[in-house]
Amino acid sequence: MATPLYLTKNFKNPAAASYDGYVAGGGYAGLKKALSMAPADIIEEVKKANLRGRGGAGFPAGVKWGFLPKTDGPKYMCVNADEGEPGTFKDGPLMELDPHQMLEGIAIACYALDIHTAYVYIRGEFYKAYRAVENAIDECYAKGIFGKGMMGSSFALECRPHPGAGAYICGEETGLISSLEGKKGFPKLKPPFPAIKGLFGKPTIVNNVETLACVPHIMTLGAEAWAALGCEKNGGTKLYCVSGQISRPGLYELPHSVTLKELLYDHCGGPLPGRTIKAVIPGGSSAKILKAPDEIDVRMDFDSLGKAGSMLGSAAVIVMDDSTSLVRALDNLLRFYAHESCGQCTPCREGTRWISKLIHDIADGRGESGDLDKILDILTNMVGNTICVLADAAAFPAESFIKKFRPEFEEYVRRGKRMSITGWKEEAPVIGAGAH
Amino acid sequence: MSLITPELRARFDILVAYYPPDQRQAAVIPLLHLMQEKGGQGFLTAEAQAAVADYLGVPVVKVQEVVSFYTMLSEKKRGKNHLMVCHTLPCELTGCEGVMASVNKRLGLKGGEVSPDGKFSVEEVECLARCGEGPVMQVGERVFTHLTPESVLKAIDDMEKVS
Repeated sequence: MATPLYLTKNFKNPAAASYDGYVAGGGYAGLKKALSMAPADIIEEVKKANLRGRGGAGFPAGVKWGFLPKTDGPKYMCVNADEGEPGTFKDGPLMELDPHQMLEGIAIACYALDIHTAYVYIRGEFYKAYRAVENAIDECYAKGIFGKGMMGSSFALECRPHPGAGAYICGEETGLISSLEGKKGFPKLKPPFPAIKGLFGKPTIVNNVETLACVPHIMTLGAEAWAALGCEKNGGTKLYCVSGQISRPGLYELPHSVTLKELLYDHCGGPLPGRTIKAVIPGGSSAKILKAPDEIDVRMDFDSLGKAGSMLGSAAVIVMDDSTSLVRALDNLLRFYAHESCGQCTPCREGTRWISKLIHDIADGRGESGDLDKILDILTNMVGNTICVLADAAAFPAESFIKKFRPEFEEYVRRGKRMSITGWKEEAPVIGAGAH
Repeated sequence: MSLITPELRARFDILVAYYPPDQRQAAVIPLLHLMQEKGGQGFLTAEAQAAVADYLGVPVVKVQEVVSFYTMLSEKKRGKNHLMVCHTLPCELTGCEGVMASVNKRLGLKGGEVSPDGKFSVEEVECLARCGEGPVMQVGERVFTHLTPESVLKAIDDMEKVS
């Protein structure tokens, strides 16, 4: 049976990008319902719906909302639309194809939290998404959603788009706040958490695009029905981004309870012809790698993947088959983190570059047998020693690639020549072939 | 201040009003984008950065450090078509190396160079968030997906004709 769609139901209906088209499909009914409720009851609904933050951390959204002090004075909503975790491509389409769904979520959240100013921080390269959101915001002002008197109520909300300018670190919530303040995107020490001291030093909630896009559906369906679409503690349907060596890569909206194996084989058509899946990164490049087939029969929710020693993160599934050289794949990822480290903390600035250089030397055929242990040793000085988790995000793939696939890494060092990223199967002798 | 034309100033005024009056610096990135796109140069000269700082009433170093931090803000001239070729893992798994080799052979530009006719410059960039459609290249607002070493040449030819 096909999964009923919520978050992507308008994706094939271009008219839904406009206010009238969105309303024709039942849009803004969730906001209307929310405005008839007490703000505290909305927060309770979101808690009961088991909505987990979909930017990567999976923190319960309703609980996060509950941290915002109920004080007078300015408070802010910052929407994290700075999508950039390698493998992730869900927030762009959510804004380009159905911007009002996210805006309705913003309106409901701000009403529930008594926030009167919201900024949508949109990745700089997302020109189309920026324009779609900007147009939709203009429509909302014209139709009485934003501005004074939301839908005829006494609630006022200003909502504005804000472009980024190309920096992965601004997807980290305190880096995003620094960037919105017009500074370098340096993350800030927590505590104080943004809910207490965020944008312009005021209480701030930072929510991901997909998280907010779920909120209207929680209002219209009810918390129990939304929770029931998923599994324990992980409510609703979820957007999964599948890329790499797979028959049908793409964006899939599925119940949170789907397993990685079902996602890859039942929905994405399995491996490319003649290949077998070797390894999968289940939640964006910062997640620990999983071995196939042994470790992929795992549910794609935040808790199950955590128990499996990895994380759901941004639900970006990167598939690598038996043709892939994992040395070259890790070389690629570590170059990314070395490039994107903001340079603020020494263990991250130096560590990401050092491990990237060591892996790059191995990938180029200049590696030495002690390099792998040296990398593992450097990682122990990176994890947990920095302001934000970028250092950890580089260390997790590095550690898991090397520990889980050590024979392949050692074989690559022994061969001492650069290989193509998809040439491992052809170029390398089968490990252990001489043992028979 | 002549760098900020009346039209540009009118748009600056609208954007600055999005932020609290005592937080004008918040508008620096939106303004720099506009300055880079509409200021006529395609990149941010020292004078352009100073003009934005002056408009916002912040020290020029606050603008300079932002320009140097963010990859989309450029202090160097770029080609009319600035080719951003993604080389992050999902694109590398689907063949971006071949695409890049093809681009390099066709244009022959070394890191950061602009072609003599001013039409092209090339940059290998990190994840463009279109990973299901790799290899991917973005040129201004246009995104090219499922590229091959051949199809990227066709795209370059088309850009050459119209620019």
